Amino acid sequence: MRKALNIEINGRKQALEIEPNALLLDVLRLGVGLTGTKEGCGEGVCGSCTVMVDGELVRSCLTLAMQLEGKSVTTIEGISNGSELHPIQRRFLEHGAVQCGFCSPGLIVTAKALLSSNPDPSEAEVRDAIRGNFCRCTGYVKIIEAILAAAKELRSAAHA
Amino acid sequence: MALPKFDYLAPKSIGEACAALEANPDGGKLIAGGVSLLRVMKFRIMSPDCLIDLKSIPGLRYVQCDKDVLRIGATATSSDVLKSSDVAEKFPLLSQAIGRIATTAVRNWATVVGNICVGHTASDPSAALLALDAELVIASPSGERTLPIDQFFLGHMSTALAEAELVREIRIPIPKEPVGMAYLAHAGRAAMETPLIAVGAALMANGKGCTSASISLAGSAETPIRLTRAEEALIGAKLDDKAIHNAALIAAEDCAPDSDVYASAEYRRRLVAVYVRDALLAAAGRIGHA
Repeated sequence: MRKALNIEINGRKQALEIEPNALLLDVLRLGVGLTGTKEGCGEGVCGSCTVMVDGELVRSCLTLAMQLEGKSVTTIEGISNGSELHPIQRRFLEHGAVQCGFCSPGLIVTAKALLSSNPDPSEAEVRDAIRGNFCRCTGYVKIIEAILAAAKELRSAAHA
Repeated sequence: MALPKFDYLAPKSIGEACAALEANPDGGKLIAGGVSLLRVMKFRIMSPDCLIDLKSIPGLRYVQCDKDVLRIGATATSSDVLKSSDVAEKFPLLSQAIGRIATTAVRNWATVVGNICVGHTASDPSAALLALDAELVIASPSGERTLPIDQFFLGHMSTALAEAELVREIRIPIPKEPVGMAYLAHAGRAAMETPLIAVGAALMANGKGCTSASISLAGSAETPIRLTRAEEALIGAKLDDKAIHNAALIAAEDCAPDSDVYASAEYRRRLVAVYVRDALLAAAGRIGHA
């Protein structure tokens, strides 16, 4: 039997009717059509499905949607400003940090959370922050460079 | 991967949660973060009829430091514990163990109480809490009881929780004198890996020698364990290389690891000797011994 869930997704309040066994990932992709969030391993290891709940990173593939009553979710679609890419997204493109792109939404959301709490991370801190996001294409070097470049850009924008 | 079908209940109090467990004796299961539970449900290892949500109960998400005791509430996340400056300062062993768990996105949602209630032998928080002499406050429809954590783990994925019981709080006694602590784990890769084995060690000493020792292991027996015989060998001894090597050898004798696809029992036993030695040396070093 479907149950009511009131949840905010990327700033929009949504009154949904969902099955009790729906995962946050299902609600995002199948319920409201936000397919930017990817299902990789489905068991919390690979990081492709990472989104934010009330500003904190979570794995949407292991988060029961019914537990999110009244909470606010941010997905990759909520990172850019309309069609204007967020500096993290732009730097990913410029640095060649995207190859197949499957891990990119999770990585970019993870990087966003990192830079919100730590605007000037060391390379070691970036590596630790993305330790739960698997990329099988790039070898990570370009991803780390992109995040550090975005951090620098965001810091100088904050000072301007 | 879809979950099997189940009903979802959102109790508003511990009493309601216990009552819901009592009303669903066969198919009711508690969920907090669900990071372990939902995984095993996806694989159809478990198919509860009804999930009873602890996160819907207000007032259980806390990490609170009182005069004699640190309290961790049933829905405090691993990240909540890591962010606590009291934990970092008084129980670095616990911070190190929880800092090993998966990654931030998992720690932000998974709870420490949930982790120990799974009853997995290779649980980092379980080993840390064993070394720290933690107690569990267990609620049931008829009231509450307190259980030392070394009586909590009964077997593989099996705990001392009876039907309709739940762990409401973890209590860790705050030591009155300096304690040298260390937590070391061996895993195949640096990130996103449960340990092959892990060691928690906490030592106290005076001018004459060791006055208190606790050593715990994860991944080295059917459940997380304390190494009582190795601890007894240290007490009263000077914390030098010889005593620590001796304790490490006893640890390797007293553990009972299993073989699996990741490592053989013999390999795990050798790891135990090395890691117990290193953890004891580090712990002793932190109180100016060894």
